[in-house]
Amino acid sequence: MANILNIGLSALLAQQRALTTTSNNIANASTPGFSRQRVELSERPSEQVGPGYVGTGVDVAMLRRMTDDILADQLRTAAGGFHRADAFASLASSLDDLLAGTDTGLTATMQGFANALQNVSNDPSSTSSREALLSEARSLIARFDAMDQRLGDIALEVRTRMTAAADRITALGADLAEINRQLIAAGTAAGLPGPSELLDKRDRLLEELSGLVQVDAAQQRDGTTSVFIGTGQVLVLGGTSAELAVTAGNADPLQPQVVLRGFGPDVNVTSFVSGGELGGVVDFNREMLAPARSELGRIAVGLVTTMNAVHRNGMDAEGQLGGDFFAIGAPQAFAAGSNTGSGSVAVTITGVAALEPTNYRLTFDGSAYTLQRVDNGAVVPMTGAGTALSPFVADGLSIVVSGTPAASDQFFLKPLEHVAGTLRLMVTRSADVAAAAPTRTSTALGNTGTATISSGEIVDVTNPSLLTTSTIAFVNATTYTINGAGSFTYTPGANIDINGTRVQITGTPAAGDQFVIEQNVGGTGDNRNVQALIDRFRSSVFNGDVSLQDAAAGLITNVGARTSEVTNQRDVQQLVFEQNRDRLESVRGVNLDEEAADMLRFEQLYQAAARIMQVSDNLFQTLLNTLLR
Amino acid sequence: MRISNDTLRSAFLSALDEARQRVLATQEKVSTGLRINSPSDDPVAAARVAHLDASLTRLDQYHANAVFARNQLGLEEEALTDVIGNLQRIRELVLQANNSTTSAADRSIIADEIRQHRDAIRAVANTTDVDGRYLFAGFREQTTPFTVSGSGSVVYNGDYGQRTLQISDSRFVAINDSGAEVFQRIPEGNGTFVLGVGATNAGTGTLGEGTVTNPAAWVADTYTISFLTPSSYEVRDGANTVIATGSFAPSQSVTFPGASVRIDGTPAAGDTFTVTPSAQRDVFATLDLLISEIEVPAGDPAGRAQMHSEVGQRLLDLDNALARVVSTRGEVGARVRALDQQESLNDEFEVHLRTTLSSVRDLDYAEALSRLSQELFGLDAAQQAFARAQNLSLFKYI
Repeated sequence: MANILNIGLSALLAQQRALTTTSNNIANASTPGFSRQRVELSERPSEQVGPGYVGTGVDVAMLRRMTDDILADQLRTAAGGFHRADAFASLASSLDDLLAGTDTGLTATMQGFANALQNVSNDPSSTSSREALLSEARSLIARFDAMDQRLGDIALEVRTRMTAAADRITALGADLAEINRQLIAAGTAAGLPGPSELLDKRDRLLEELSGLVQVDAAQQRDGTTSVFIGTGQVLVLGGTSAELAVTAGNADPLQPQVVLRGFGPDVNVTSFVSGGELGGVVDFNREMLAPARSELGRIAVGLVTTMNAVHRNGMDAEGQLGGDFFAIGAPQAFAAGSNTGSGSVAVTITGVAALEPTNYRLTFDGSAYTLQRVDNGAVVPMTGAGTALSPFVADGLSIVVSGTPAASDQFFLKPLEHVAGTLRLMVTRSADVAAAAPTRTSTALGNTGTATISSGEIVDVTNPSLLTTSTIAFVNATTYTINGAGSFTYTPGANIDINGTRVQITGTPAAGDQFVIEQNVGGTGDNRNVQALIDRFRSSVFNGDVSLQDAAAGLITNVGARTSEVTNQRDVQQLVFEQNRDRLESVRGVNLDEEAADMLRFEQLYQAAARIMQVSDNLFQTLLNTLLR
Repeated sequence: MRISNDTLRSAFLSALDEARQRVLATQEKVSTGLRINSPSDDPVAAARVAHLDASLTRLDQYHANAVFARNQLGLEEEALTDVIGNLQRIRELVLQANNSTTSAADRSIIADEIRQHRDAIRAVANTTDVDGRYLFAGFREQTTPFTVSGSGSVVYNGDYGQRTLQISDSRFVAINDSGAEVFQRIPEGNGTFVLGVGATNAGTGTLGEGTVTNPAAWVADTYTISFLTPSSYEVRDGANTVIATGSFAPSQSVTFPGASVRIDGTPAAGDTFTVTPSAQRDVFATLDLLISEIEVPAGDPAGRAQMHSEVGQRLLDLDNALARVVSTRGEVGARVRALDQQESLNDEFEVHLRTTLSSVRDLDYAEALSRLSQELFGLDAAQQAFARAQNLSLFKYI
């Protein structure tokens, strides 16, 4: 009887525990990160009674927390992948919208500038078409400036998001360290499983952390979880956590970098972190934003260099040589903050055609310099020695190192990233637009031959005698003198360069024929130089036969293609993430129908157990009644 | 696989979300009418659209250039036609004056009329466009091209510049001709040499046509034809060497290496005629010479013979000037035709570009609207399914 009572009691307690657990599951059905629990029962050891063994009831063996660590780990990886793609895609979309909008883009304004040049070419002495050209030039500059500012805004957003992510990661690390401490206090070091809600909370924190940056979570023997980021840098170890901070770059103070502080000296982990929102933002910055800014700068430098080269060869409405049409800021170079030597670097742009839209890192190993692109890490071969007389030349840049750098010193070169906003118009008056060429040619009236002379083009505008009058006189049909001196053989159509002007004479000259090259005075209807500007604007500027318009359109297309690619990637990653989440949920999620059925079952079992006790009591009462008579 | 309540709910919600996003995307396309609203929608097509847009803008500009060019060329053509009219009238007058029956008094009246036409030509050569810029001054379009100097000769103040405009990616058209080419660099005589009359000639020998019989044998030099007797002549070159002699009868030609000169009438002994290589003279100087030659009283036969000789030569010069203006007008006409041709090519190309642009960028409304209604229906169905599935729970029955 006592046995029956005990058995009944054990059953009662077991079903009570089961009902409690089921109620807990139902209560927490919608709690995020909750792992449902199941009671696991085990038989009590049986007693030997007579020829056999009799059972003694049921025990609650354990309360199992239904989860799967492998699936949880996979889910964290998927979360990291998804959030990285999501952050990247959303930033890429805003970059895409900026470049492509007809209100905010570049190609329409550039075409407007080209059209204004054509109108000046039609009617060079018209003040209104010159004014319109200057107005279009100012619009073009304003557009470059606006785009540069907006790109700067995106860079600021990148920095803000990086900082927010780093702060949240630090906070989560601290929380995980706290949970580790609580788990130790709850006795996990001795092998106890630890409170379920702490473990659930830990899993939830790890999942959120994975959404911010890819982490490795390693379960330690004492029940705590250690967390590593990047390539094995420690974020959480036992009860202590590190701090993740965003600071100004060591090599490039204008670029944010991610620094891990806490366990030992500060470590720059910017290139090690991957995955999660932080990884996505850092990747976006390196792979799309910085190259886009450099490309915009490259187009601006191309515009300035080519337009200036042609404009300098021209003559304005007041008879002055053209000079520069645009001006643009100089390339930037920094010495890394960690440098121990005293070296400094100066960069100038010498070859527009070879410019690449990237920043560069120049490293000194003690004896030699290595130049690397920042966007893909490729090493760029250089010629020259780095001195002022023999500068390093690579990718259109000329680099001079001065001072004494120490071994492993680094220098950061940004030739193009920040120049698009420094564009300026040097021509302020409509009369200063150099539409004409500085020299003109004429054929003497007394010529009897049939030779004609071309109108001339400028090959060297710096020639000090450019504007002096020169005469080509033919002594006979095959020989001529220049300014009365020399004896040159006449080849029809060959270039004749005099004082910086190049002409060609074709046809058959007669003895005594003369041709004159002289300063273009009063030639207000001359459109030769503005026509040259138009040609240069449309012709190839960069390697690969890329014109300015091609480069502007290419920038839009590349960003658009990449955005489309990452958006598709994000959609795929989202599916993977949801699949992984569903798989984990199928193990640990609460199904209310299942709990309802269980509740019914446990209730019945409880009633049955109670009945056992009643039966036991009845038996006892019967015995008592029998004995008492 | 076990489905937890959470999974059920989030699966439904994400399906609803996707359905809503699809509807939103299609709605945006329908309201803007564009298939591509940002390059990431279709990067390859977006690149094509950028190129097409740029080409269309360029075509618009070429059209504007062509309009400007046509205006200028039209003005030039009118001016040249005016000049041709004047020159032709002058030619008629000259023929009249050269007639042996015209009296000196009549010739004086004719000379006056020629003066009027000469001044008219100069005025047309100084014609300006609507903005006051001179058509025939080359690049120096704000300077009067033809002015009269103190000595009475006409001076050209312009230059040789010819302005070209772009009317397609590879085609340029010139929109002016410099006054120097049109009015000034006119060859004399027959283009190779010009004939002259000795000032003291006493006979009635009148210069006729001078031709180059053998271009290879012609040596450019000043030759003098002297008549030793009315029927024999000798030709000396610039070094006074006799290079040809011959006998002569009226209306026969004097020949010497490479050239032959016909002389009508009867030259007297001692009469000379000169053969000088052609230089270039401007049309105004030619007209001035013509006027002074016509105004010579020329009472006696010798004087008349001289006048006829000189006027005959000037007539050649005048024809050269006329030919130059006519050919320039022909060139202008050819340029206008080239403009027209290019314009119609550009128009065709523009239609082609616009069609391609539309097919790449514009939305197919029929397809989009039917897709939109389909997606709306899908959204509605997803919402209904969600509502009904959420209702099911075992707890309702226990």
